[in-house]
Amino acid sequence: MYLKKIKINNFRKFRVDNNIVEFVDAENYLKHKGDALINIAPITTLIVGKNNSGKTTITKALEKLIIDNKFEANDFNFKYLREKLAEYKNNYANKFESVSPPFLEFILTIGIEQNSNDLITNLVPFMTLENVVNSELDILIKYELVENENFHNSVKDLLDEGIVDRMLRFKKFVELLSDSMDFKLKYYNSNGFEVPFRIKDLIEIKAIKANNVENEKCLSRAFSKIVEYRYRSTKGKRDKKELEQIITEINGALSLNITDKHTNRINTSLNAIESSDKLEMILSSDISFKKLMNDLIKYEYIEYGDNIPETQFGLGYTNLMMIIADLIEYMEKYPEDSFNSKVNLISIEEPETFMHPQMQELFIKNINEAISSLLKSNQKNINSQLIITTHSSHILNSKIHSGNSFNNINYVTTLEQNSNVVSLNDKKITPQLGDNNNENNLKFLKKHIKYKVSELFFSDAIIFVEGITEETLLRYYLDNETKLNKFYISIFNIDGAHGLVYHQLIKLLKVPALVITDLDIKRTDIEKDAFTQISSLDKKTTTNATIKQYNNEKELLTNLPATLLTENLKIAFQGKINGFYATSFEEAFILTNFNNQILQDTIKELKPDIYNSIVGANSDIKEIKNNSYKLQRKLTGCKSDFANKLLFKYITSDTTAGLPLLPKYVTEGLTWLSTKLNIV
Amino acid sequence: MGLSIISSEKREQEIDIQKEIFNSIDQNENIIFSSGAGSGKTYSLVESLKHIINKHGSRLKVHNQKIVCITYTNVAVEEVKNRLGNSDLVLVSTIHERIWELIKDYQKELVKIHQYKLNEEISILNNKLDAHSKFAAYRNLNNEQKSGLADLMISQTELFYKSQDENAGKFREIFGTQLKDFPNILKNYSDFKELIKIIYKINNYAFCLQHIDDKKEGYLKVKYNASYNSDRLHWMRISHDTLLEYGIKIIKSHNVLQQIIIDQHPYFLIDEYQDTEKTVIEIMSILTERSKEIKHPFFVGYFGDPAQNIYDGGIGKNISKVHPNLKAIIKPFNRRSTEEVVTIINAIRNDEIKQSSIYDDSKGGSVKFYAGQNEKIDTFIEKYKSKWGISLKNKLHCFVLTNKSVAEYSGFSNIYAFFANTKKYKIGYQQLNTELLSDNQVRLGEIPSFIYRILEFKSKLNLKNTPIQDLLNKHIYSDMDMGLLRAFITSLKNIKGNTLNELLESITDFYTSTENKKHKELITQLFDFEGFPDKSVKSYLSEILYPNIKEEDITETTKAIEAFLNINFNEFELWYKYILRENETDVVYHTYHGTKGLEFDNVVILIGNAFGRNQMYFKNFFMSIQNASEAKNEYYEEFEQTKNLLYVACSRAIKNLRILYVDDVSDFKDALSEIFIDVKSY
Repeated sequence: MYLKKIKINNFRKFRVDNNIVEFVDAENYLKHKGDALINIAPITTLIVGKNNSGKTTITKALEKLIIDNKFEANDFNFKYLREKLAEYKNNYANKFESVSPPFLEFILTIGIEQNSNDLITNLVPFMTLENVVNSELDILIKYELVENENFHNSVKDLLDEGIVDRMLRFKKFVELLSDSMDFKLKYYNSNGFEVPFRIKDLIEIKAIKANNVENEKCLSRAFSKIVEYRYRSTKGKRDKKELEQIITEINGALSLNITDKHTNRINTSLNAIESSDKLEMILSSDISFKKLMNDLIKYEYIEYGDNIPETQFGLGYTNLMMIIADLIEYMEKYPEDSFNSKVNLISIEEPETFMHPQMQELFIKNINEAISSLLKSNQKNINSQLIITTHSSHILNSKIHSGNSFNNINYVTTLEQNSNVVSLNDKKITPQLGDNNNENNLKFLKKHIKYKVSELFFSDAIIFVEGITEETLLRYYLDNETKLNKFYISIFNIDGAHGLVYHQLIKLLKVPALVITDLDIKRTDIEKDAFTQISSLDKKTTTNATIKQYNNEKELLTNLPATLLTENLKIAFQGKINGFYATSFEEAFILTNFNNQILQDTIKELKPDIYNSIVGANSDIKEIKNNSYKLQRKLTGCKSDFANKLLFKYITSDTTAGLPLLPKYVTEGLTWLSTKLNIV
Repeated sequence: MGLSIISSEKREQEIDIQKEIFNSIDQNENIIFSSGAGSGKTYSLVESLKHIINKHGSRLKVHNQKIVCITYTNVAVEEVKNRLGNSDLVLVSTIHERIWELIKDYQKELVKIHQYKLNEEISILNNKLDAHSKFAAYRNLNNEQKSGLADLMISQTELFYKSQDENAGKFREIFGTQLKDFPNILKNYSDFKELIKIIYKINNYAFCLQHIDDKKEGYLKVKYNASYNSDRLHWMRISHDTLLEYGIKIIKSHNVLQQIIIDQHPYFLIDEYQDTEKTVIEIMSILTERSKEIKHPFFVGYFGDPAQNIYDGGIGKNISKVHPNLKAIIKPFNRRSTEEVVTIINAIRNDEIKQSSIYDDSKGGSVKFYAGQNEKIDTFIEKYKSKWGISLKNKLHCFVLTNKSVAEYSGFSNIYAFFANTKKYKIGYQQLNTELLSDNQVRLGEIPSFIYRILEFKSKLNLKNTPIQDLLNKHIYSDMDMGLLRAFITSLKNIKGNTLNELLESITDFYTSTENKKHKELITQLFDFEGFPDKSVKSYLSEILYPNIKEEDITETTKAIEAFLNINFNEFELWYKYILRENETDVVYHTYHGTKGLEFDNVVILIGNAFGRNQMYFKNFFMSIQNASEAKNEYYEEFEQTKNLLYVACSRAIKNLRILYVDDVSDFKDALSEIFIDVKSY
């Protein structure tokens, strides 16, 4: 059996929605359990998110439930408590008849493998007939007050005080809760009946904390413990006996030595004071197995033939070794003939501490090797689920690539001050494009994402662009935009059709994303040859896959809305600019800034002949506008030069006055992004 | 819409009454709180519990003491728990559960009482053998022969059970030769069967006593299980009634136990005292006395209404004789019904409790009394169905006079007819009401309870969300892994049948075909009768429902049982739903008794001279009012009982109440007008 899901209600930053964390599923679990080569990546659940998003809260909730059995008043979600207080106020007149006091709620879903021979005695009280068929069941755990009436009464007293200051009243309400922390964990089955139970009879959790390098001897301590377990195990029993034999011998020899050299003399001096039958004493050596184990081991590592003490070991390595030591300890402690009647969780918290990026990338691989060699060396039937909490994009990356899957990744983010969990899996993020090539698309996404992981998972917003010009110019604009530059906004330069592959994932992650794409108006060969300008979209079609996708699969541009919005995505494209529809960013830029000196200079520098032929002898710059399509075609080969030259001019210009402007569809997109980021 | 504005003056008075209760609680002054139907009695009870929690809770917590609250049904337990919210201080339960909790840890003493009981039962049986003319042939045997007969028949138990339902000829064929050494013993075949059953019983009890002496596993403890309402003394299991019997015995004779109960539970609040068994009141009285002797604080509060005592076993008005010195507190308000209904029910009870509605806007209901005939019932109901716009959302509740009509209206008349015609219920007609129709499964009779268990088992197997623990107890599922459990459930789901007969056979087949001990154990628990599987279900039914039946009647009873088991299964389902009160119809039929504790917007009561077997039940009642009769005294018990039943029935109505009297009322018209004001004819 295994932990399949946990739903966390009203605990810390969690409210009642988007609060389900999913763990590795049975299929994956079983598939990999019997493999000769152990690969833990697919059976590891990753909880990933930015700082303060609530990811540690998840393992904290499990630990509190399983180990502490206790929560604090501060563990209640404060918004929830505020609502409760309001509910109490509103029901004052009817003596709080329908008000239930605040409680925390956790719903654990336990999965049971087909054909499992795990003992289920612990689970039956929660099981219904349906559960037997479905092989999963819910355990409802509530942290509730023991005496509702006492609490109601105290709340009544509080409200009677008539405190006007809302903040103060709320503070007192929270205090009341912490004063009357006469709470109890109660367990219910899915029909709402209470079940006498203790979760620790079913689930064990071993938490390996971030930053567990406490002192200079921690590695020695850790390995001491492991050696002790090994001595104490059934296999080590004979060794232990031998050791104890040696200890007895040493004790004997030492005691003789002590008696000879010290005790006799001291006794002689004492006899001088008081008679020997009252004060005579015996001193003896007292080394025991336990004492020896406490300080047995010195950890050193070998470098170029020198033994280097632990204290000189780098922090990163020490940290990794500590994690491995913890794992070894856990495995050694596990009873050898154990039947599985329990779910075993190992949670590793932010293991990236002190590790350099490459080491983080290799983390899962290292842990993998450690565990597989550990399991090879003993026959234990350990049935453990590994949970790693991290904010390292490298560890996330290595999970995706060593496991070759997005399964079992829980992405935690903050939405409206609440934690928001998205459980990713391949099925959910597989691009749903019309081309029946979804499996290949997923493959592409996995490959392509490798270098983009941190941008996707850890940025505040994402802008997709389709060419070097917009990428270069946008970067410049964003750097100089005093409000947006406070945020971590990634710019992805990826061509439209490929960009679509990301959209499913982006929607799940709920990161605001602006997709700046192009109208890509389809022109006939004649129109192309004649460089025909387009001033109406009527009956025109597009070759742009993104627009097509979000414009109800229509290629036809007639009646195209000014923008396309879907969930957290905005698709921006050119509108009518100074009388014409641009087909690309460059053309839109030219149309927007046709009478700007910098633009004119740039074009003139890059394509002097064409420039001159267009503006003619009269230097009629309006002709730039009327030939925007032709110009963009001519610039196709030197987009990068075009962008860099513009950028150079931007940077070297003394004032912002006179700089070319971004096309309107882009600036509107940025405004939308600002509102999404709550920039006022 | 009415019944919404509480009169502030009355509210004040209600609070004062509540304070009076609190005051008594604080001074450990035992009270008897009486208030009429719909007065918010449960509210007062819950407020009292809250008061104890708030005022004395921290002290109780320090001493690890609890407040006991006893209610009449499990439904009421849930109601009180819901209103109270979480509380570890208050133990809410039915009386049986609480008594068991109080005594179950004193097994040494319980087993002693049990031994005593077994010996007592043995001597009753022996006396029967010694005295009854049926067993003359047995008495003529010498002691050696007697024990020889016992040994022979005990060794033939399986054969005996299997042949129990054979006809006399076949039976003699089977046992004749073996019994030739015992003169005349088989002369009367049904007397012989009765004899052997008694011998088996004595043997079982003796076996049990021996095992208790030998401290054999399974015989170290007396067991009680709320879902079984029959004694299985030789299995060490006792019924609800025996539990109370043991309870008072053990408490009465152990001073220390009394003190332990007092010290652990210094507050006892008992709901519906009028229907509580005398034994329970006795126990409370003993505890009160004891607490005074040792000067430990102890409070008993009774909450109820003597006018709603409608069960024979209940203490009713006699409570103060058993438990003296109770302070009486009365609450004269009604929170349920319209003024029109309140006026009528006051007139019926006609005692010191005169209710007035607590609401300022209490008008707007209607009560009408019609005199008519049986033939008019259907049109009468139809009339009000359309007049009051009756639908599934606005139901009409119709109280009928006889169990038979309830069964007919609710769609299980054949089941009812079968039971009503059995020997057991022909004699114990009074019990049929409870034992076949009670909504409280605990009170069902042995065979109805057996049928209920089977139907419940089947129905639970068909529901997805049935907890496994409702089907299998821990002993059965422990050590199972998921695969075994799944296989078990799958095989249970294969149990099928279009009739009860087929269903029972299918279960029996499952029992015989499985090798698994745990599987067999489940079925044994489900059937729960001595002799299974050798003794068939039919024999079991016949044994209980037709005890000691004569030879010439056997064919007929066998036929009756056959027919019963083959009644359309749908009828059994309707009966099952009726017990659970889950029937989905716009008109719901009840017996008068079955409506206790309930309330309905629209009520039609059908009434007549006769009730049950008594042809003059209500007529006598109204006649003695009519004559303001001095005869009342000798007739007192029955008069009170009738009054209470009528009171309970009429006080269920919230808004509309119609009463149709189906017999001639001219003899007591004045009495009727006295109560119902206006008597119309229909």
